[in-house]
Amino acid sequence: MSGVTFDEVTKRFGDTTAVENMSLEVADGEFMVLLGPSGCGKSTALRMIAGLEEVSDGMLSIGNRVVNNIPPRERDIAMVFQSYALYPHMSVRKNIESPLVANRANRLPAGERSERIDEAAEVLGLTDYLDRKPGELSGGQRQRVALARAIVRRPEVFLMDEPLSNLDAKLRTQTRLELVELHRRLRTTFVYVTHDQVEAMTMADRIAIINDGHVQQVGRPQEVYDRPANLFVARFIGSPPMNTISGTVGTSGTGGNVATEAGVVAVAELSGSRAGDEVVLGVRPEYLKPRDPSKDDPGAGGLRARVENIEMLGHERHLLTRVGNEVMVARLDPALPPPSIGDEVVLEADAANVYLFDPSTTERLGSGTSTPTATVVADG
Amino acid sequence: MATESTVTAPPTAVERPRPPGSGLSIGLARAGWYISLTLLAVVVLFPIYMLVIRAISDPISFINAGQPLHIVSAQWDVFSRAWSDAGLARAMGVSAVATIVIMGAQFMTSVLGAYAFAFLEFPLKKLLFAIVIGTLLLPIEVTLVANIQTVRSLGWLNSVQGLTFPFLATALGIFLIRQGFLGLPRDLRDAATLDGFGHIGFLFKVAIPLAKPVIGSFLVISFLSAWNQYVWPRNATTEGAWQTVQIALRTLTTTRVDQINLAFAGAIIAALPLVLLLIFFQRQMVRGLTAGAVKG
Repeated sequence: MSGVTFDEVTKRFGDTTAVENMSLEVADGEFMVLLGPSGCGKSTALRMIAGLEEVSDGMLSIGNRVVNNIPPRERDIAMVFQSYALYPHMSVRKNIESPLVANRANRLPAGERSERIDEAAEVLGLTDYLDRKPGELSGGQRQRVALARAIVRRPEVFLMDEPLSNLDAKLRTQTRLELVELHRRLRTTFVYVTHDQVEAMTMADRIAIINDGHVQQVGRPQEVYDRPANLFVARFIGSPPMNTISGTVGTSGTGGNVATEAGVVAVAELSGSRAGDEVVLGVRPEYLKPRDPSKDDPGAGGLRARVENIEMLGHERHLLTRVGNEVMVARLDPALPPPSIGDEVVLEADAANVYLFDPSTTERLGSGTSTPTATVVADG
Repeated sequence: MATESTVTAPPTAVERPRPPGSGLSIGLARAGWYISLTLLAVVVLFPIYMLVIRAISDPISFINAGQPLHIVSAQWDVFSRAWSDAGLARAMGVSAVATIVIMGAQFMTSVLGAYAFAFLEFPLKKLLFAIVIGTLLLPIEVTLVANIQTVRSLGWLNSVQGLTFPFLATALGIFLIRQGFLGLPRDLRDAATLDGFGHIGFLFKVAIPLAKPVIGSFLVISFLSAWNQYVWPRNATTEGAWQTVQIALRTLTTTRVDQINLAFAGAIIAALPLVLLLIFFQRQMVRGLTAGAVKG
């Protein structure tokens, strides 16, 4: 088993830079998810590990071996594709066997091949389908064949490029659990690319959030949720995402406040910003509560908002409101009576869970030193 | 009463109401199609029908009878006479050998050329491909004299190599099979690379099996053009022993003018392999020719 190390790796396609100076260390046996919007360079990064794209600059290592110039088949990796990439003319058995026979130089004896195929088929519940063609299988079964083809070669690193995207919602949840179980069982390094933050949050040991070819933040799922390094991460992680609004810092009593166009928000910790500084204020939907303005004390803080829509999800409600030019979402307990669409409300933010960002660098103020006191749930 | 209720019952979802007269117009449209297709079939099949009639009829009696649309004084032994008089057995043998060599060579060169143009990156790729495709515009007559000179200087007149050499590679094959290869998903090629397939492994284990319909249809085209060749073998052979089937037919036509039905019978015999091929592979041919037209 081996980890993967990107050391200032850059990938250029002509004039376009897909990945720039990426440094990232994936530990041995770790489940690392590369998360980002489409076109951010995450798949390019994965394809560089596979050797399907050349590294333009920097050094890429698998274990202790620099692999910049090592051909894909000698990298001891296996990859699962979004489209499964099964050979349609071959049976499931032949598909699973292909990495063991394709390279004549290190072809295994037939007996051992057969053993490995049976073992992989057993692990993934494919024993009854070994003689079928991929075209006769469902999407979920095909994906499992692709996984079997990957595990049969016992690689040092598994690479997965959005492997669940072609599955329906129910199957995706199920396969997600199976993948986590597979990782637990194999204890091999997984590098998994997705644009779906739910997949990232539920499966990863650590997440690397990527945008515009740059790593924005690397951390455990709860860490990137609780302590986003910048506005991009804050807005990308979380569903619904973090609400943000521009304002100016003021001081009052022990803490401080931020004056926005829609009202003043109390902030427990000013994270090093001073009165008069321009900031972007961020607050997650679960820390915004609507209040009836008619029962307000005059001068009480909060953001004046108008209810535009209410989404009922069963276990919670999302209150979509218009605050100045921004749309802000509050997460409500479904047991409480919600306001009606069109109502004027005041959104009150929990002062201890307000984030401040520098509008010019988009970095979170006080990153690494002072963090909001959001509940840190033990993650695993 | 029952009839009434049936008539006045509201239309169900299954039996949607039709606009009045639509049944009739569909029937008319269908009849129109059948009539046009029948006429077209008559136009196409009439010469073949006449070929059979004239082959079997005694030629003098047929002309004296005013060239009717039916058999006159049937000569059923005409096929066996044509077979022996024209030496069709040997001529068909020569044609078969030349055709097999051409098909085999075209398969290899087209598949390799198509692979390079579809999957490899090399300098001047687009220009080279344009030049290859450009050769499609040159009819055989343009290069005939130069090619005959070459074959003559190599001492290859009256030989299998002489009959086949200019046709061992074809731009049509490269183009068609390249289209088939381009239809293969990129992920499949990437997966094959990661599995450890080299160029040859990927070509023969993955690309060719998946491009089978296109390759099959190309081989049918290759067979047809090789079997039907006339101009090249006419120039590349000088001895009767090296006559191909089309040359033998020509000889039969010019040497036995009084027995012209022998030539017709010979033509029917020479066409039999093609007819069999078309019967067995027509679906393949159509599928291959339309492959790549619509990306699936």
